[in-house]
Amino acid sequence: MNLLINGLITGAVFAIAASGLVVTYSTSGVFNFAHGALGMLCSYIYWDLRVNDAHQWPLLPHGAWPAPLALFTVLFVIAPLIGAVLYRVVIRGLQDTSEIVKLVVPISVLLALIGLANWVWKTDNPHSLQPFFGADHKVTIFGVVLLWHDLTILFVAIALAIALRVLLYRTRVGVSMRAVVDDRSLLELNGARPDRVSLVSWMIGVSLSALAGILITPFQGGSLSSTLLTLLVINAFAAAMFGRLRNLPLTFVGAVVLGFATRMAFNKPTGLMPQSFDWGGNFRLAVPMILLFIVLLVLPQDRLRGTVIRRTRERFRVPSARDAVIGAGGFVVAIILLSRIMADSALISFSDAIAAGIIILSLVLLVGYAGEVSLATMALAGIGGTVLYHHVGHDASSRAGFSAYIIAIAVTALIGALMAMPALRLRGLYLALATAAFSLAVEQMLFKEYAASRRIYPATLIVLIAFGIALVYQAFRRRGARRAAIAAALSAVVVVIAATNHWLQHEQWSAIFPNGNLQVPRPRLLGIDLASQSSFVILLAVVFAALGLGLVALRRGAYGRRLTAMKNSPAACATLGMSVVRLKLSVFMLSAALAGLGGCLFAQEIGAVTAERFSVFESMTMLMLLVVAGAGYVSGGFTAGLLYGAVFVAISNLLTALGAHVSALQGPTAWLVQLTVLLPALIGISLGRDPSGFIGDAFAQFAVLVRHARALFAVGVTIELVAWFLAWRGVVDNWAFAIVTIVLVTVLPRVAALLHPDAVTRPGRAASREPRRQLIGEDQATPLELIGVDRAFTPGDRERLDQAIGIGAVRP
Amino acid sequence: MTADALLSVDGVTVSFGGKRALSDVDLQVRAGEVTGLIGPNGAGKTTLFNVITGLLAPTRGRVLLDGRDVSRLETHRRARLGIARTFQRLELFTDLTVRDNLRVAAEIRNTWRGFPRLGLRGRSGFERHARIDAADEADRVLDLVGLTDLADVPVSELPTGTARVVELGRALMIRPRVLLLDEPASGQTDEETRAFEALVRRLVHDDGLTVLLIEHDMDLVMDVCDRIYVLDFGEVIAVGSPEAVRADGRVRDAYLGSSS
Amino acid sequence: MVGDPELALELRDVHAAYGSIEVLRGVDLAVPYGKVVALLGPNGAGKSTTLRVIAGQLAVSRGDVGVAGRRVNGASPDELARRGVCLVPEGKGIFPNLSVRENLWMATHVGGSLASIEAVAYERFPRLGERRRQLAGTLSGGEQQMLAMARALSTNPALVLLDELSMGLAPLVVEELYEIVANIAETGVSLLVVEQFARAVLGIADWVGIMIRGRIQEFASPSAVEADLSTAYLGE
Repeated sequence: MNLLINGLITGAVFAIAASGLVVTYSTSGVFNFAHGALGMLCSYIYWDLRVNDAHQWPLLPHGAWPAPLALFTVLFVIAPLIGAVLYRVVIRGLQDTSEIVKLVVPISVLLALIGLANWVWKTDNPHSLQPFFGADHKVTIFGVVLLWHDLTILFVAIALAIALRVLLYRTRVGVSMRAVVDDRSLLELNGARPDRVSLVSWMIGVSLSALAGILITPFQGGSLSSTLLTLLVINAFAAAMFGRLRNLPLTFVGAVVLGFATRMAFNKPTGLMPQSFDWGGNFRLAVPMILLFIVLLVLPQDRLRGTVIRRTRERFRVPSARDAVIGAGGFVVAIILLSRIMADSALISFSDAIAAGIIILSLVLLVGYAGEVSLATMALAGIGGTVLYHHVGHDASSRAGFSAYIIAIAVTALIGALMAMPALRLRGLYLALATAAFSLAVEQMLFKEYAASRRIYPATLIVLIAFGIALVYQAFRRRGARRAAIAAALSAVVVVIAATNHWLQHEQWSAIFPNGNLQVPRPRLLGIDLASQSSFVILLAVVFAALGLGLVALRRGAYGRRLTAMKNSPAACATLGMSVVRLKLSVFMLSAALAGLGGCLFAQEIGAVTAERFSVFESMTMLMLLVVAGAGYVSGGFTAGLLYGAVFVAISNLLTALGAHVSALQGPTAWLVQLTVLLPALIGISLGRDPSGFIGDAFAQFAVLVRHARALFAVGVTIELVAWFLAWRGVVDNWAFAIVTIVLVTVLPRVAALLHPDAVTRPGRAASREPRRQLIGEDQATPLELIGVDRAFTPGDRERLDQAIGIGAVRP
Repeated sequence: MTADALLSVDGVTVSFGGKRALSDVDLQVRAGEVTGLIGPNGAGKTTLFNVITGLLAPTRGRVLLDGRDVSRLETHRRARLGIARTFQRLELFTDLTVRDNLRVAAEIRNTWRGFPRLGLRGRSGFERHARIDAADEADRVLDLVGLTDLADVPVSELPTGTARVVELGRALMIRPRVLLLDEPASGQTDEETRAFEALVRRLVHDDGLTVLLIEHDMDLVMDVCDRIYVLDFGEVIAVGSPEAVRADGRVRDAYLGSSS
Repeated sequence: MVGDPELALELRDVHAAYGSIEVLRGVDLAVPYGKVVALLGPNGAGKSTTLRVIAGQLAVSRGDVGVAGRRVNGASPDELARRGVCLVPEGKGIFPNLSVRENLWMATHVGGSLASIEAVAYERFPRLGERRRQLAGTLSGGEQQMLAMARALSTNPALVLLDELSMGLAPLVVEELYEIVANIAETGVSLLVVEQFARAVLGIADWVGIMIRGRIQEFASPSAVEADLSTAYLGE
């Protein structure tokens, strides 16, 4: 009974969160990754108003407010306002962009909100919310003691169901929201503004997420947690998947099922499970992820689809083999030279950046080349690092050899394949969420768990059961009921064998993450000890350059062309005889292997690495930075690594130093330091319109310098080398060197562009200017985007341009 | 069933949520011929192509290639058995050049060999396909379809008419036995259509290719097809030679509305 | 420039494209007030695209579109709808998961009350009145088209664009629908009708444009074009 009622209450909270997700997704087509994060932000605001005596909101009365007033203000004023601003400023512009941007921008919002909450509220400090009506008001129903708060949750969920029903069926704006789902363009033909309808739905959505956050916190112990509230989006999503992100009644059903499943995990295990294992702690948190994984498995296979014509589309240039080799060589030399003059702290963050860059290369392959997506990069990297650690040994004098790396890579690749198998049938959003769920499950079940003996057993069983279900389901769809029965029998046998296996229940398993962090030993390869920072950074640089070269070679070869083909049109590939699933599997494995190797090096670079380093939020940050830089480029991977590991650290160090030296600036710089934490996410949000990233353009400019202004380039290189030499000899300090470098890198390409205006082209367009003109012939016009590029801009073009961007009508 | 039907569709029905897109369609494509498939918009022509290539599972009915039931095979398996197609809404590899679009098709073909053909009733062992030099083959086909001059142009910059020729060339790279062309002339100029027609004739007569053609350009259809199927509301309402179809009252009604 | 105040609709040298596929290649067309113009031609000629351009769903890449003497290039579909352009799109003029009544409710976005729109619609189509609570997606094909047309009837638009009313419908139903179109025309509404079943519209049209390969090839009276139709559709 206890289980039943508590499950119902948990389900009710999930239902509130999930319905908000459904309302926003179905009316705008953008999945609100930040749904939980928005609720988290609103919960903290509520805390401020309700609990914090010292809050000083402008225009609002100070001191702790009574609950109804605070609740009303948050739910009906602040949350809708946030929703409206978010939709107007960020989400609305995503309508016509590519899928990856639609994913990355809301993820950036999520990351920004976490940073913001941490900045304002120091989210590591405890913030507690008391239950409504206090902890004293209790009732006993069917022998279960319930707080009034618990009853409130049930009541609110029921009221919400009724309110949504009334809204969606009895008001014009609500009916319009359903109409948008049915046919956005027809609603427009009816004279409605679908944008406004979506705006309203986002206001409602944020409000619902705030409600869920405020209600769930006292129910789950009373302490606000920015991470848990942010991850509520996954629970909400799992529930919403029951209704395929569209159907609200089914979403409510899904939420209740999820509630039961989560509550069930609180209880002592029964049946096959030995009594020595409890389900508590982190494992419980993984239940929604596992359920989500299963739901995604049972979804019907995504049909092979063709290209969707969109206004913006990413475009990446493929470097020539010669450029790649020169680039890789130059990279290694530059790193070696730089490492000779850097201070220790700078060298460490620089090495961090390269190590992160190696992990990010796995995303270049997956996202940039193959057009897939994954939010489990860091989870896989963590697996790689963990395997290396357990293989090599734990004392300070041990060193990793080749075999350790090979084993780590192999294990990661295998686990990557396991993850990919169900994910292969999905794409875009669902793929991102499935991999996020995988990442969270790995995090909760493996990394966060210090006593492995309790985890290996249930984790193995869960994995086996999940794949059993997948297998049976696939067999049923592809080969019919008889095969499915055979598959079911086989899976059952395997599960029973595993369940009764004593080896898996061995109490002596060593902890996976002992004491919460791994002291991963550095390598000794070919007899060379690479433990020191100055030698390890060279290894990192060489590995990065080699992998980068390998990726370019891959991209230029037949395999890379097949990946590109698959990215462009899976349907066409299949009709040419490509097994799309097989190619996807291979690229997921390859990418996992890269992540595994990167994870080893990253863990070795960090030294004592904590589980937080491998959290899904880190994966999100990496994906975001890579897309911002340019997902199709190895150099984009390096840039993202730099941004991830070094640049923002450097900026904030610089600002802190500045503040320490000049006391007048202390206030502003402290403020700016906080801002740098938000900076990457803010860059991600502003990404919006150009999914190609900035690296491509930067390189196009640089190419002009190298190819057309050789003398200038040579001068630049000479100055740089001289500056390095002076810095090395200690004649000038590193700041001078850094400033010279920055000036050269930013100014020279511009000067070159001024000297050679004809040579400036956009990526991918250079080679084809001549043939294009022949093709188009006399009577057909130059496409708009090439006016001014292919031929000179004429006054007549202005009108065409005006028409194309839709400002013609407003002219008199 | 006629013995010389290379590809046949046998009682195919497709329903989308209660609405029938195709009902009980029978169709035979004879080896070495050009078979036309015409009908008003929404008649179900492209749906039938999707069923034949396996992109869409029919509610009922079978697809046979050379007498062998391929209905349960996935799209790529059918392609390996010799069914290739082009798309009405172009499906080119937009990040690649014209040459690479063709080349990658040959490279995909090169991955066919050596995979065990389990799960196919009655046969086992390995399907073997001779490896081809992808780059050479691409150049050969580029020459054949007359795109050599444009080989290094990114396909995203081609006008539609030319892009359709690239799709044809790409489909040829896997050396299909039967080629399905979906509205190849739409978006082409008259000259391009004439060149296209000549090319199709050459492929059929010289290389023995078999073609199933959806097209709205009646001049092209009437000129190039040996036999024509007329589809209306998902049903075959007429079959026969171009002359017979043109004279058929039902066809006229399907296009122009009933004459009553 | 466009701007003839005598014309409900005017197209001058209109070009439009889907991505790189140019579908309209210089369309010139005019619909005078209170007249019915039929746009005929083979599949893929650009008829539906012409309507989409007029309704603002597809941007004009060259040329001008004028409605009631005002140039409207670049206006959004909802803006045009509120200015009185009413497009009944091909085959999907209704919201299938909304009830009949809710569908009519959506028509009030251009003005008017639900009660008045319902009154007009149910008077003209009693069958819809009987099914006002039914989901539109469960109606028969003919009833769905009636529902789509009810919007055109009840909101007093200045210009009605009908795209392939006959799509997927039995000939008898098509006849019935076109009787209703004729009724609408008698009330003085300007109509531009795209239809594959040429014979269905020849009876009610004041003018007929034959469209081939993205251009209006011929613009004449219905009797004059009837003979050429067969050639246009089935080749020579």
